[in-house]
Amino acid sequence: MALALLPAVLSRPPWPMLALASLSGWLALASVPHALLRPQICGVLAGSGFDLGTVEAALNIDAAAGLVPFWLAMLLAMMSLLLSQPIIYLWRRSLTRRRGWAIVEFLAAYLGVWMLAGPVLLALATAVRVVGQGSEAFAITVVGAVAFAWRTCPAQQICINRCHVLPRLSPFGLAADRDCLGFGFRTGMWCVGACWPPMLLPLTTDTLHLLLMPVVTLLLLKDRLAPTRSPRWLMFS
Amino acid sequence: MARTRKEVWGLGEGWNDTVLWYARGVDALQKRPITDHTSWRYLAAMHGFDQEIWRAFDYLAAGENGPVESDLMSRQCQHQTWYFLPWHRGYVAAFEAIVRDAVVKLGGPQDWALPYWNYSNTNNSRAGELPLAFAVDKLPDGSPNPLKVTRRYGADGLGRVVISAQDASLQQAMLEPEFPGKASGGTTGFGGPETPFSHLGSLFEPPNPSGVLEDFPHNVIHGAIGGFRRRGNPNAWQDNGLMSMPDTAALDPIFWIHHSNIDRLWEIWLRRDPLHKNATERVWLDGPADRTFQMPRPDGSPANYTARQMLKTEDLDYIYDDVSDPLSGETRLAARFRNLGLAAPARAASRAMEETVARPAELIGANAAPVRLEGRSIATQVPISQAEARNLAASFSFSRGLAADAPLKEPDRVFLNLENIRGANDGVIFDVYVGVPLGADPKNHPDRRAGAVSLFGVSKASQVRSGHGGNGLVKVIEITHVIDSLQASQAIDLRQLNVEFVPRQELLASDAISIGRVSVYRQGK
Repeated sequence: MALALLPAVLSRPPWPMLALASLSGWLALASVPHALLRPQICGVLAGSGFDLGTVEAALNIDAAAGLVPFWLAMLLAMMSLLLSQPIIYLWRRSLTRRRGWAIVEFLAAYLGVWMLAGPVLLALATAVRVVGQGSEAFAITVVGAVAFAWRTCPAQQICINRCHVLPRLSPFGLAADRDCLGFGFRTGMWCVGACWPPMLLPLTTDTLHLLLMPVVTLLLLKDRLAPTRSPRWLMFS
Repeated sequence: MARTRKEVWGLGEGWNDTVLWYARGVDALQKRPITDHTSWRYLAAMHGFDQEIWRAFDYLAAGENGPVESDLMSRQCQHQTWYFLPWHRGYVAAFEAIVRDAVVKLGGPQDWALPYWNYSNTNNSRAGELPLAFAVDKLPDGSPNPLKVTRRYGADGLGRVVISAQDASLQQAMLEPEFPGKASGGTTGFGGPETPFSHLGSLFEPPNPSGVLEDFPHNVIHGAIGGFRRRGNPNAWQDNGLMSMPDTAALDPIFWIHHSNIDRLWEIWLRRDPLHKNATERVWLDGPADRTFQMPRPDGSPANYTARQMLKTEDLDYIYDDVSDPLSGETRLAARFRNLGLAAPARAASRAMEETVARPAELIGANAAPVRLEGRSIATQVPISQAEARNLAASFSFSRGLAADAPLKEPDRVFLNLENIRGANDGVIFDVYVGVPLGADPKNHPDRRAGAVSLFGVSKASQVRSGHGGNGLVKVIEITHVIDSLQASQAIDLRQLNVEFVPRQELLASDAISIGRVSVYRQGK
């Protein structure tokens, strides 16, 4: 990319707002100690050793409640920059009086899907730590290998392609609400499908969490912006 | 000294030196292997390339492959973006230099320049006919004519290429006041919508529509020359003419003299009105942000360029023999006021209105369901939001003398958007009518005709594998002139618009043409 043109590119809406949302997420994560964001998980992992009970603990309601602000901050930080295409689409294709509401509905459904995925992903990450007797190196290696393998298989490309589907939007009334919510829901589902292994990576470590997040964010952005293509096994193509 | 590009019909009806040397130059380029960056096929692949289609059309021999996807120079064509004009200027100039180099090596003139085809020339009754040198089988010496291509089927599919005066109309393009437009439902600008990234970098944004010149008449001319001919093939592309599809268009020698004319129209637009100016944004002049445009020199070495270097044809060593205004000074506002049945505003008032910055376009209504285009005529109703219908009507209030002492304010412009157009047949052209009474034949209401839409590029836009997400094309057609006429005769109900699509040839299910949503936008000042 021509770096000299970057400021001109990034000053076009909605990039400033998306960048602000992402920055808010990063600031939230960086300014609050991990232990406060994930008290139940950290406490469980540190206190009771690494066994199946740890995984169960990750799935209980208290853990889930403690997860919400942390997970939201992670999503804000990492996902905001991926949403330029649907947000621009909603803005252009909605009645003026509905534009803000259309975007809120989309984001609510999109984030709702990711919020439901959060505990599952955390349980998975915890399970990997359990198998590795708590070793972060083991967990990162295993999840990294899964993420790499996932990126080479056709299913991931199918999910990425589906993330770019821009559906018809009814202009008026409840049908408009239904379509915006449905758009957010489906985009969220396909986004989870495409991104779940790399999103696991930061969850496998406490010490390298904030270091892995920007790496994963750039990877997700690269995938999101790459031209769509026919699903195929990348290693055989 | 700059070389002069001349109008092909002005050079005479049959063969002449310019066109004969063009044919010899094309022949020389066609003999070069595809791996040579100055070969006919490589130059065509820079516009677009599809291995399957090229092989089926015998443009790739057995065992031969086209350029790989990582080849920066190939598949570069810029459409649905404001880079459309500068990229094509560089492309055609590079082609011209390579052909001239071949011409000179064959003993031809140093001042050879690519001719252009002015199909809009109202002073020549034959202007819309395919120039004869492109239609005959043999050169004067009896050898095969490389300018003749059998895959040209015309708009009606019968093989005779004649561009109608309607299809060649320059009204929409020449009267469009601004170069850069937006992709938000209103005017897309003479030169195309602002996009910070190139055509293939478009996944940051939803699909963009074409600029006004790109759609009218550029895309329509592609379809009117290439067209398609029903031969019962399972895939629509097998029946398409070369000019109908972006991946094969530049294989037809007529492509280059069509684009020479489109380039000339850019010059004319700049000269015909002091308010007509190129974009000044740095992203346009020095962009795009995601790649470099690159063309081969006659020696095959690559040369990078940006729009900044494409602003003056003299800098590229050519001029046109005729850049006079085909609309004789007509302005958009004068035409509009005439349509409204009003006297043209005074010059100062007209200037003030033209210089007022347009507000962003706003959606005011859309139809209820996707539209499948099959058969000979397809209609859909577009309900308009009641509040917006009132706002739109209010913008016409000056014409009813309700604001006689207020500064003159132009009524809203109105645009039809055809969103998520998907299909398998690029050669389709259909006419769009607005406000035809239900049950009436649209052809009996020429004043309700909004324009023609060409589906040049639809199949690639519909395919996920082509890189753009598979969301199809977006077309923006200004219907202000139709709304104005209906307003003037008070024959319009702004709460609902009837929109009808009339294809030039009957459409079949196998063409798979659908429009995701038909919507209406207004754009005020």
